[in-house]
Amino acid sequence: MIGRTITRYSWMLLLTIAVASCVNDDDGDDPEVNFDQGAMLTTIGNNVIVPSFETLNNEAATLETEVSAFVGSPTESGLASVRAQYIKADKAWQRCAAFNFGPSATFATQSVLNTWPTNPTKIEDNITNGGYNLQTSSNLTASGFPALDYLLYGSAADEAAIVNRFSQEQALKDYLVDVVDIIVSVSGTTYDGWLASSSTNYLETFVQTTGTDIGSSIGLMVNEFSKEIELVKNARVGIPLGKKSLNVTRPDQVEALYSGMSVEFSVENMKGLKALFMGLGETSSTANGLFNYLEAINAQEGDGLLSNAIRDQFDLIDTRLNDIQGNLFDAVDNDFATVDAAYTEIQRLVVLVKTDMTSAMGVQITYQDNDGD
Amino acid sequence: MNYSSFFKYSRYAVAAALVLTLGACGNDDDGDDDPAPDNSYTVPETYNFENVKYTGQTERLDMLAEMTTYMKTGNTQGTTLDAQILKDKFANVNGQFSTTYSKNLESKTFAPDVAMFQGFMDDIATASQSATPGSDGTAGVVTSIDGAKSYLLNEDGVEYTQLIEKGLMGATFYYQATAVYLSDDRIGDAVDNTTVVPGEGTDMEHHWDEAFGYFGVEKDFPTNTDVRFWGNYCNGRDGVLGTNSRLMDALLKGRAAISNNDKDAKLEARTEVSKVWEEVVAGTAIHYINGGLEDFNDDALRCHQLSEAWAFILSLKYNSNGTLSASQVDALLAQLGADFYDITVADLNALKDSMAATFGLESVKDQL
Repeated sequence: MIGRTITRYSWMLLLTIAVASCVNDDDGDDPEVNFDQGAMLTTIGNNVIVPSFETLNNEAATLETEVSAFVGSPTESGLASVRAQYIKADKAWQRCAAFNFGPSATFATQSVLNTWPTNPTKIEDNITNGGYNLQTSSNLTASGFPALDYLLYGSAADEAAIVNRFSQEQALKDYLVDVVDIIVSVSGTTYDGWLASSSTNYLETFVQTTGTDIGSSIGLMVNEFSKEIELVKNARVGIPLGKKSLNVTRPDQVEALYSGMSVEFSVENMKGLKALFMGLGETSSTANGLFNYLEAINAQEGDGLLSNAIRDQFDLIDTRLNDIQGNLFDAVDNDFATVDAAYTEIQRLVVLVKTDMTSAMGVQITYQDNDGD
Repeated sequence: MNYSSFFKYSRYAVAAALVLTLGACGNDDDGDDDPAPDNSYTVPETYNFENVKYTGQTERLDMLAEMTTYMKTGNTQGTTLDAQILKDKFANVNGQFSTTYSKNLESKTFAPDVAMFQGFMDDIATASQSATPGSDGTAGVVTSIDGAKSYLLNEDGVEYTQLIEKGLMGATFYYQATAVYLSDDRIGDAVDNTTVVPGEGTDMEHHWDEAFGYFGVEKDFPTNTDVRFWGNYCNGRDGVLGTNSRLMDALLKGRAAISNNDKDAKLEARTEVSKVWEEVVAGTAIHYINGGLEDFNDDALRCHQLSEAWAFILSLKYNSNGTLSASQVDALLAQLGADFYDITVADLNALKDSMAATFGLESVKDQL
């Protein structure tokens, strides 16, 4: 037996492998550059991400206070205050939407806060029937900011009628409070997850997980960055514009249908994306972000640097979005060309980021991979 | 230590150097424990041993692939599925395949669960009768928000295609490999390891090869990543868990050990195969729970991925040396529930945390 198998494998003696080999671990296969990824992640984490979630947390808390006052005594001026605070809180969320990893992934923060189009029938059924659980997946289209958009702007014909409903219907008041409770709760748990004082302390994980492999902070961040830009391109602009429906516009698919804040929210969303790219917080003076990383590895685009091309594209998109007059619901039909021009520039940004930036950094796009089935 | 870069580097180092001698780094083994086996044999880099045959396993993989192709025709609204055709394919009767197979899946499936899978075949056929697209409370085809994916779901968002395909990967392939072919009955010391059947090796060698055949990889995996079924999911988890080399190396080590009558190495390899394969199962279940969280507001993608998760959790019960008992697996399934339209983030996180703790995957649970 032994003799037979030795003969059988004698040729393989040439291929002997060591059980305990002498190879040393390498540093991954990042581009060979002298760039401190940890310092960049520290800046992005401390100056951009954590302050953005802190703002969201604070704005959500203020929203809860405003709503509490409004349901205690519904008036038109109270409604105006709640609406204004809703817009501030939603804009604060838009600034966080790009950070859809770590605690935001764990708590499905984006789904919970901002699933649209919302479903008015489901909302009204919930109000009428009671006994709802707004935490379940089936109620995502009846909760979050889009439900708030409906309750504050679309639940009756005008301000007076909305105030009248809130004066008459305890179940409507309760529903508004319940929707805001979840917004406050998920904003809080997501923010906490980033803090050093929490058991998760994701900021530490984020800063320490360098490299560009799958699972690295840069890998995760770039994937979510690209995915969010695609969400702006498709869900926020493209679908209402008819890009997925043979150019038949679908204005009712816009993000904030009842308040008409769709364009403003998209502008804010892109500012959050740009802040992440530049590594520049709203209140900070030093920048160190993906821009600097691309610059350090000397990634080229056409005749210039890819870093500059992406930065300039953000600025161009901001201009194009601001060119859209009035609300997006009307604009997709009345001013198609202007919206389409914005769409085109967002599409260009997708290519610069999803194709060129990932290739330069050696980051693999994984968000479209579900094991191929 | 980064698993993926370490294993990647190891492969390149092996390929480049070709020859590194055993114990070259000074970790010399004195070899005085058990002088019986000749441990100068070499574990090869590929499964190109002599007398390897697992055509029966390849047939069963092919049959499940054909069943899955048939079930996925139901992902087009208006295409109805016939439960009897599926059951016939499962049992390989009445010539329902594109070619003639000599084996069947049903007789190799964990017997107590055969009726459950046949029930799923009735259920998928019923769901496929729906005249309307699916939604919460209504069976039918549901399409992802981006329009790219469509799945046939029942009224509770259960995708039977996944329960059947991935479930049989567990109840047939994984079960046969770990609980049957790697059992003492098939590779224990009492099994004939002397009489060589030309083309099939000894009984013991052949049994090990049959376990390998259920893995779904080529003989030169992981250099060759032409994979399917478990091979696909092993490869899918490799970036985080480094499972490719660990599972393949264990399978190679065990076969070489059997051929060299190295009983200790054989048992070590069996333990390793069982352990790493289970890591693939558990890691894939967590991967799909994460997918459910990531696509939480997309009914099609959430329900699809949670159906996958359900089937991979189910699979955990089919390894006789597995970490969990059947009733513990049932408890996990109960935690996931059977209504994927009506599930909360908190439910999914509780399940994920519990599984990560059970399988020692806490440090990587968010990356899977």
